[in-house]
Amino acid sequence: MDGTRDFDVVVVGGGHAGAEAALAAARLGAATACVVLDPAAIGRMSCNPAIGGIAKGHLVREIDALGGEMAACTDAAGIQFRMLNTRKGPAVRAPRAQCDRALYNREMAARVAACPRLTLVAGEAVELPVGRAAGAARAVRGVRLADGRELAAPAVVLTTGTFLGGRLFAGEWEADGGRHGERGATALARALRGLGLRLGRHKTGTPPRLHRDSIDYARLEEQLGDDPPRPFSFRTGRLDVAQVSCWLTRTNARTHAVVARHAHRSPMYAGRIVGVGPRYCPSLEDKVMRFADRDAHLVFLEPEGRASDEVYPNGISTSLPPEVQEELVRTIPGLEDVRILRHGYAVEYDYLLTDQLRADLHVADVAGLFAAGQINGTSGYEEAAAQGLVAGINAARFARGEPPLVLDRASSYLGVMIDDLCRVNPSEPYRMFTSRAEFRLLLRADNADRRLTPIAREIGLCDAARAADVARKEARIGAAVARLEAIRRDGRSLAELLRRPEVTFDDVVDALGVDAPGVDPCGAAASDLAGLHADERAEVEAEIKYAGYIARQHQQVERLRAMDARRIPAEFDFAAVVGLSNEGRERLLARRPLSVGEATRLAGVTPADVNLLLVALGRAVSRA
Amino acid sequence: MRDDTIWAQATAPGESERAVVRVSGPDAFAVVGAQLDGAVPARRAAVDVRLRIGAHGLPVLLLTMPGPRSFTGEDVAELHVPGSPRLVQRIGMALEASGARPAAPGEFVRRAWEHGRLDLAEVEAVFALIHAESAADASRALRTLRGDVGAELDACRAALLDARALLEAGLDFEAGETGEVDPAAWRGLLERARDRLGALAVQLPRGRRGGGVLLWGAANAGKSSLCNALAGRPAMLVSDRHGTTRDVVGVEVGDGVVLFDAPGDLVDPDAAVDRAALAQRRELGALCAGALWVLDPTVEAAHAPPGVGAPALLAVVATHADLAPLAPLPAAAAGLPVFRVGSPSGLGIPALRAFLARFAGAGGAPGHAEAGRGESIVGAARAAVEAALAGARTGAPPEALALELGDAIDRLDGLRARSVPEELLERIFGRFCLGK
Repeated sequence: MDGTRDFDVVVVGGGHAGAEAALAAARLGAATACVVLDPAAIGRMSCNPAIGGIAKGHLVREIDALGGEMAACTDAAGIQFRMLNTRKGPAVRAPRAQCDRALYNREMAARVAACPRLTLVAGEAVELPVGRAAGAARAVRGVRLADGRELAAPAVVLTTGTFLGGRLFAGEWEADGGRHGERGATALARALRGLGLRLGRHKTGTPPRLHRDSIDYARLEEQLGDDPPRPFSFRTGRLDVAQVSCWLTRTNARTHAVVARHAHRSPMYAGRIVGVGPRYCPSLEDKVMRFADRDAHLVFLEPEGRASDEVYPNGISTSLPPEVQEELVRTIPGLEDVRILRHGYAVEYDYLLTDQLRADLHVADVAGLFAAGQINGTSGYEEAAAQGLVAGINAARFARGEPPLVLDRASSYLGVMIDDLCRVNPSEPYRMFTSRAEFRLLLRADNADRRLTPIAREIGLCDAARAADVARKEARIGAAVARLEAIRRDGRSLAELLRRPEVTFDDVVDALGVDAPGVDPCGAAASDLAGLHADERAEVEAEIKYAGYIARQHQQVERLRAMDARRIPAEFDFAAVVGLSNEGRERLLARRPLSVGEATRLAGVTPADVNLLLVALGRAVSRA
Repeated sequence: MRDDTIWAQATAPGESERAVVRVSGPDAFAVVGAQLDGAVPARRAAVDVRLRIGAHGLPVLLLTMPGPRSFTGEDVAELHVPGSPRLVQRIGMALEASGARPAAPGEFVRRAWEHGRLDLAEVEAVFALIHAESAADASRALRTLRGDVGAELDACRAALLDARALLEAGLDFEAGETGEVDPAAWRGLLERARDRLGALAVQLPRGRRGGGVLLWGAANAGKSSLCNALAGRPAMLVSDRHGTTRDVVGVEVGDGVVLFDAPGDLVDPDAAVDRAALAQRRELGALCAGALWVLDPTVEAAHAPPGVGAPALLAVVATHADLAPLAPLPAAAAGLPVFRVGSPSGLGIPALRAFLARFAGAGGAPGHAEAGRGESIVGAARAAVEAALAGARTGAPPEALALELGDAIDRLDGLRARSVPEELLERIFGRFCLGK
């Protein structure tokens, strides 16, 4: 180090966001410190023991394609793999896996430990010393720890999860803390407020954990993994894993009666929690009170690992008092004699209002300060890890004086998520949904590598061999599509046949094989096509089935990118644009977008505002 | 927010019984107050006041409308005075001496829009109304301004969002979480939205070219086949059964002409669904620029002329010309241009298309040139909904249908600006108890 810095990048936190951020920064050559309260908690799953799901699985594939580790850890620690939405189109199919919680933790910790240039520092970050940068802006100078140590660095990534100002609740009990049995980061929250950053408050919760031997499985419906299981990582060839089952049960009127009788003791309903919780992951209290007409809710019993006694009952997250939790779980079929190992609780925590973020996950006002994960108002391991990767990349690039990596909405779910966050302060913890991605048909889990690995290669997070693999895959898919267009059967191309809703890729290959065994050109095609990897088959199917729509989406992408390419000069006078709507004017003045595309996506800016802006820009250009 | 106050004569220039002088802006009440002996009420009111003009002052009526509940959203005062150009000029000079300035053309409307009192569709309607060349144009513009169209657009948009929420819930969540969503639920929403958008398209202020043309005729006269032939695509479901078409459906056939294929005179006048369809046809007829009388000369019963409520007949179209090229036409058809067409062969279709293009080019429905945007946007939104329905029929994947719906909603949002994804999620979460 040159004496003014101990590290290039300091990452505060070692959860899903922190681990990816630290690994990415170090791999890009930055001397990186990862400050954690508990070094054993790297990559710990605080909530359910699963990774992926619809839209979240897309994110995990993107993390993998861009050089992150979440997918590889999931493949190593997964104990049940399922592809979701297989009856819908290829764009909305997504992988999900149950993981062995302890194993996932070890896998991620091992990667962090083995990573060159990455130093794990045990301690509590309490302050961010800030100085003046070369220009007028303030700049972060590093991180001060509770024991007085100071880690000097030009770039800091905050990934504080539920720990920032964290407070735990169950019934009438409450205490400071970031996770069951772990203290929170109160001083840091104070320090951020001291910097003038605006914070909001979110809430989330977990269910009680059950002892697996106290469950009566005979009464439950079994949910098996896929055979064969499909891996998450594009780098995992084949999964050799003995899968375990999950089990389904349901709440009933008796459960709901218990909840309703004690709802007033829930800290949410007693008004002691002010943070906003996610509607898509409601507590059992919420489900019962908000949907009083429903007489049953699904509960998935998910094993937390091969050797673990704990079972995670997905669907009954609650912060009711422990004795009420005991009463309510025993009303559920299969759980009549269940033993609770840990009680459920709610956690409330601080997050940065996201209009303070930039598209590279830089905190707008403080040069060198980045943020990722729940501190940016999101929820979910996958959302956190994806942002961690981008923040880590950009922190390293910032420390080296390189321009940031910004992913746009047409490139990835990652780009959609970050753009969404920059535009609007999420009113509830932000979760990824496929419906948020307007270019959904282009952003498939199966083509994440085709979309993002070239970018990873360019920035230095991917080796030449891997990039060449992706290029070869691209070529194989292109060739297969061309073949299906060219080969005709009964006067129609195979592509036309495949476009029929009920026909799958495998049907087409089967038809070829029967008609022309082995020798003629079609036979050769058949064996080539049959040899494609599952990812590639899905891609060929998507390219053909969506052909017309894909062309349309590409046109929309071109328009988007043209708007993004229309730069707005930094000195442009938004106040002088006549006729803007009130809200649009306010947003433009507050945000000062740098491109017409960015202006278009600001909440409150109407299409009419954009037209007026274009006219004003045209005038400004012609005057210049 | 603007800080200046503007004034203008709100009635037509020239001598008249009464003239209205309108003042709008933050100082509107102070500026007007400076011309009066009495005080200006700070509430919404109509009061008799005395203008300081002449020896004894001039009694006039003053209307006060404090913002934001006024046309412009600012404080607005109106003086109702005798309609003398000299007097209005003098009042104007006095207002300007007190700090007001003359309004630029369209400035009141622009301020109304800036303050969210009018949306773009309504702004267009104001201009269409000002420039209306016919009673029909004026009534269309008025309907927009009165909010009928806005409310209807909102309702259509809400239906589209609901339909999309049902579709999206099935994509973003596993069936275990949402329960199975019956496709009939969103399909029904879409069909109704499509029909309402079709009817709306003709109610909006019009561009100079084109307009709605109603196909009028007995059930099974071949209206839907004709529609498809003119559109060059299978836009309508066709069958040999009487009364296959129950919904009023608009199909763009080029040159700004939208054909409305209304149901024929159905067999069962007592069935509620048939009665509703016919009522809709009458309503639509009133809005269309003209009608084509479609008849099948091989069927005698078809020879009754269109009944009361049909718009002006432009021409007679005799179908099934492949089968009966020379079949006699009913006496009522005399004097109208006649086109004999055969649907499968396309016989006579080019001639009819050229006729419709001439009709459109001649200004089928006159109106202000810039005021046609609403109509084409609604038409395009409707086409996107139709594409989604067609996709649903042929088994296109739901994510593709969602794309069409997104397109339709985006188009309507161009007309009435708003943001979608959060609203969409709102609807999903309102309906389903989601999340494990």
